Order: sequence, then C-alpha cells, then structure tokens
Amino acid sequence: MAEYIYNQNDHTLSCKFAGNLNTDRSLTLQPEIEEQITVRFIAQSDIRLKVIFDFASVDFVTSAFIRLCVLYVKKVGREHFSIINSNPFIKKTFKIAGLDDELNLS
Amino acid sequence: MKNYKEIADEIIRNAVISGAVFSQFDQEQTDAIVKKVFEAGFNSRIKLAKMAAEETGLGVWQHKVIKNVVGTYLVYESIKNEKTAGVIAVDHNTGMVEIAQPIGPVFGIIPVTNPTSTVMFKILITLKSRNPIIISPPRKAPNCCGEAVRICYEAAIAAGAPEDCIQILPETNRDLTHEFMVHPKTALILATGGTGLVHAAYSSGNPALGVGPGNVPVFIDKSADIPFAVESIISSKTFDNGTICASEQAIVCEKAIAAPLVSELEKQGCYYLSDEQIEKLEKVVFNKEKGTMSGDIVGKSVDFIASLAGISVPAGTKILIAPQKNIGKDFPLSQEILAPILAFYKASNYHSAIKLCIDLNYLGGIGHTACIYANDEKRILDYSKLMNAGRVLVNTPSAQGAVGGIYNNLHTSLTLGCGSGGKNITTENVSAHHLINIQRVCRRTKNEKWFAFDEMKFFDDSLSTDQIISDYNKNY
Repeated sequence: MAEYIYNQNDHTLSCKFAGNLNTDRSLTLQPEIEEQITVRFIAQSDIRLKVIFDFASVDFVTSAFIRLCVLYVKKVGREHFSIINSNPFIKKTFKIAGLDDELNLS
Repeated sequence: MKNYKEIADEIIRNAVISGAVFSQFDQEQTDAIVKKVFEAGFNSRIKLAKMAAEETGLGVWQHKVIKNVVGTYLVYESIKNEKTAGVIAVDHNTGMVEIAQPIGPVFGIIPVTNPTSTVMFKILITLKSRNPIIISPPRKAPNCCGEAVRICYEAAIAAGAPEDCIQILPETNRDLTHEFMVHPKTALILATGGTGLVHAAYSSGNPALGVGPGNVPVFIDKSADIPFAVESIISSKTFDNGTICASEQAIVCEKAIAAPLVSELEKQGCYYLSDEQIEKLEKVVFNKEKGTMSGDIVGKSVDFIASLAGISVPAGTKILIAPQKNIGKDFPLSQEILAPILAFYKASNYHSAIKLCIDLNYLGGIGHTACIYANDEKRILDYSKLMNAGRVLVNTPSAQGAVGGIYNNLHTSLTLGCGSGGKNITTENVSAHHLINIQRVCRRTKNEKWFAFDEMKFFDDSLSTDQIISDYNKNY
C-alpha cells in the first residue's frame, strides 16, 4: 500500500505514498503507519524519530488523509514531521487548508 | 467648533439629499453629467499629474498623466454605454425586468500613490450610478486631491448634477474617517489603501469594497520569449516607480533558464544585487516594527533608494533585482514593495517554481493579481488554476494589465476586487455596476410542473426521492 524506508543513521522514517489518498485508503494506511511509527518509538525510545511523508506520486488527498497528517505531526512533533515532493495542486490544497506551515510541506 | 461626528453628520446629510435628487435623473441626464466630468478631468490630466508628483514626491509625473488618462478616458469608455438608471434589462421570455436603483452616499478613500487618478475614477463610476460621493483625501496629498475634486464638481454642477454630489473631507485623520465609515447613512465604502485601512472599512458595519495590498508573482516559463518578457516586466515595474499594487513583486523561473534571463535583465538595464547589497537594501525598504515596506521608499527612483541604502549601482539602472533564498517574514523582499525592486527566485524545476509562486501569492497578496509569461497553454492554465488571484495576466505587464482597457478587456478600474481571499465580495475590477442595487420585477408566471404535481406527495414518507422527482418531472 505504501513504501516505508527507515534510515537508522538519522532516525528518519520515509513513508512513500502514491495515487489517490482517499478515505478508504486512509483507513487502510493508518494502521500501517501507526505500526511503523510505534515500532520505531518502542525500539528507540530515547531518540526523536523524524517522519517524512513523500508525496512525489500522490495526486489527490481527502480530508481523511489530511487528518492523518495532522495526527502524526502532533504525535512526533512539528519539527520532526514534514511532507516532501508534493505537486503544486496538492500544495495548494494544504495551503487552502492553512496547514502547509504546520505540516512543513514542500 | 464642530466635533468629528457633527462634521460627518452635516456632510452626509448633504450627500443624502443630493442622492435623493440624483435618483430622479434618467440615463440621458446622468450620461451627460458623466461625459462633462470625464472631459474636465481629462483636460486637467497634466496639471493634476504634476501637482500630485510634486506634492507627494512619489512616482513620475509623466506616468501620473497616463494614470489620469486611464482614470478618466478609459474609465469613461468602459462605462459610457452601461445602463445604470431606470430599466436596465428586460427578459421577454420570463417577464423579468431589472431596474437600477442608486445605493446612496459612497465614501471614497484615496491612496497617496494615486491621489488624482483614483479620485476621478471613483467620481466617474459613482456619478454614473447616480450616487453622491464623499472623498477622503490622502494625508500627504490633500491639495492635488482637492483640486481634482474641485474640477470634477464644477463640471458636474455645470452639467446639471445635484448640489453636493461630490464633497471632500475638510481634513484627513483617522477619527474623522472613522465617523464616515461607521455612519448609518453611508451606503458603501470604496476603500483603497493599506491593510489596516481596508480592515477598518470592513469592520465598520457598512458595505465596503476594499482593496488592500498585492504580492504579485510573475512566473517566466521556459516557453516564454525572454527578451519580450523582460521588456514587459520593466515597463510595468518602472511605471510610476512601481506604485501600482498590481505591479510585479517577484520573478520566478526554472534554473534551466535563469542564466539567460538574468543576462537579459542586465542587458535591459536591471541590476542584480549581491547578498551584501541585499542586506543593506532590506534595512531601508522594510519597516521591521510594522512588518511592511517603509513609506520612505514607496514610489521612489532606483537612484534614490540605492543612495539611501548606500549601494552603488550603474547610472540608468531601471530595477534592482534581489535574488532570494526563501519566502516569508524573514525575507522582507519577498513581500510587497511598491518601488522599482524585484525579488528573484531560481527554482530547481517547474513544480518547484510554481510552488514558490503559490507561496508568494499567499504571502499578503491573496486574491489580487498574478502574472505568467509562457507560450505553453497547459502551463498557463495550470498556473492560473493554482493562483488565488482575481486577475491572472498572461504575457502582459501586470501594472498596466490589471487595470484593464489597455492590454485586455477587463473593466478599466483603479479599484481591483480581490475576492474572498482579500475579504472582498468580488474578484472583478470595480466599476459603476457595483454601485447600484438591481431590483428585479417578477411578473407572475406559473411553474407548470409545480402546479401539476400533487404536493401531498411531499408529505408521504413512504415515497423515495426518486419516485417524487420522477412524478414531479412527469411529462404527460
């Protein structure tokens, strides 16, 4: 469903998504992401985990997925969360939602 | 000595009476007045331009002449055939008749950057809609503004307009302006100015059409004709030393065309600043306490600004180009600067470039204007969809393009609607048709479907929506 790459050197979890992140997919993805993050937290409780959502291949997001983003930025902290490689239309969606800064979207 | 409330009461009472008299005028009488006022304003275009440049110390008087031409002749051309009095439309199929009614006293606030052209523009569209107008002159330009009002008023009266159809505040200060904004008899505020002023207009409780700042990104696509784009941008950004809020604020391009673009900018008289020079420039063009551009450099020439900043630039430099690393409050030159200074962004690819434009657009310029130079239709449309701008100008100098009538068929206007993003009710260029109430006379015509349908079915919970809709639309 998504590709998760963990870099042990800088404690960064990259979550690569693709296509249409609609409500159904968000429901499926949430436990996956949750598991990935929880595992890292448990394994390295003394280290701050960085989470990156890579949107290079994402072309649509629903409010369900935006809520997921907000959930995880709260969980890992604003300075440890970012969304990268969004296309301009996705960027504008987050801009309109007023969340581009909070989610460190680029 | 009258207090501000008493001054406002008296002026507005006069305006209300004037408006009542004006409401009796027909289209022909109204148009005759508007024509005479346009002619008087147009005939005074040079005198008023020189007065404005001298009194404010801003801009270039020759360019202010052009602004006065736009504010009189082009505005007149755009409104002269509009129906704004009495019956303005009849739909013979539906029997619907539209009648234009004047709205009442308009309170027009004038910016120091256009102290005569905006006056004449606001007077023309207000008279065209048979409304009286009260002008609030800019604090730094009471004389030229007052002279424009006098010229227009005398012409209006000579053409038969009602007494007090144009009035001007005896002085300009925030408290007096406030009295007019919140006065219960003020019908509409036409506010052009800074963010605080526009916000005050919208908070007054009276209807307002307010236009605040812009932050116009201009994207130069790889499909653009670079020499043409540069020439066009220079003609816009140097116009009246950049005092038009629709003028370009930042050039954005892809890395692939950055070198030839910079080379062309330099070839055509722009000066590319070093990091050290940018640091010096930021200190004089931006007021950190207020978080906005410094009034000291608005509408000033490159020579003046460079000298103020302690920067040495080649003689004849037209625009200072300031390469920027990012956008936001920490990068003052990424914000609106009404002077011949342009931020410059080099993006790694097309998507990054467009995303920079989105950020610039949302940094204080939402709803205003955006600009693109390209010959790729898909990119032009994609860019347009992504900008939150009332006007997206294509291969056009944005200062002259946004006001309409020169480079496109936008309504000629010196008040540019910025839509909900700019807290406006419209994204259009504001004109006479925004200053009338349209009454719709609706004659009885029967909706046959409604009367043929058994309305008791609406109360039957056992029927599905499809069944009800199907019955309702049954064509016997």
